[in-house]
Amino acid sequence: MPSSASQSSENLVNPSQWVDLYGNYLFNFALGRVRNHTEAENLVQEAFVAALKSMESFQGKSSEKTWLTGILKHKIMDHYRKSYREQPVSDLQGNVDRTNDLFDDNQKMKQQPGGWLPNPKELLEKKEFWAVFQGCQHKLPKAAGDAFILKEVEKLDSKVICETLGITKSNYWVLMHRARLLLRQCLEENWFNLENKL
Amino acid sequence: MKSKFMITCQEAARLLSDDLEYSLPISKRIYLKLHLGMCKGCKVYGEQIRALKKLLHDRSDQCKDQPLAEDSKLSDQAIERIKRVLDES
Repeated sequence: MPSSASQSSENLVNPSQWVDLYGNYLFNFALGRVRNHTEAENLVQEAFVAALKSMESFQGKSSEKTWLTGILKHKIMDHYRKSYREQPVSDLQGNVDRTNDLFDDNQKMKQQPGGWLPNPKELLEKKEFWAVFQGCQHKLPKAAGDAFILKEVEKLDSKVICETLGITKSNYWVLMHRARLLLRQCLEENWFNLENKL
Repeated sequence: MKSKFMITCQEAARLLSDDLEYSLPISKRIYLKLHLGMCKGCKVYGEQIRALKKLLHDRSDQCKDQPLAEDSKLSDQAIERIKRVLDES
């Protein structure tokens, strides 16, 4: 009679099926963070390898998918730290800041915001909206986009974000401001202004 | 002549973002409120970025870890390579 006490982690995980079951999900998750297909593929591979090595630690408290996602998140954070160490954020002084283009000589917004507000009930379920959102996210300057996603999607503490990106709190506020300016503009042009014409 | 209390829209946009990050000091809070009282564009801007923040939080609550878009696929080569690496590990 099988003893529940002897149920090993091997009964809980199926590495041979991981790629087929979770490959595309993890790939899409990584793409939401790193934008580049090759980087995303590599991160997924690294996550699978790391998971294989730490199979014994999987206790089945969460699902296999959740566990693998957690490992991928760690790999993504490592990737950020490494990439920002190698290439520190450079355009913090605003010399190449695209957001300056949004304002005229009097520092007034060139394009006054349209009178829209996102309706969560309507938008949360709309795949098309999130595809447009990700498109806009990918167009953000790298550091601004990364900071924004880590804060607003991943809900990390700003202190952790600063450490990961190798920036000060002050830099972080500049990046979040830039991300909001550009993201709002992009969403207005590519979604909210178009809605009325559909 | 620019009064000490007048801030530009560019400055207001920055303060509106900072307002989502930390408690603004009183002086900045007052400058911002004065500006928003006179500038509909910035008032709307502030509401929009606040609402977008809330939308993302609602989404995180509802479908944590769900990718924003899911139509990308690993290439066949990538799938083969990863499977091979796992077999060899």
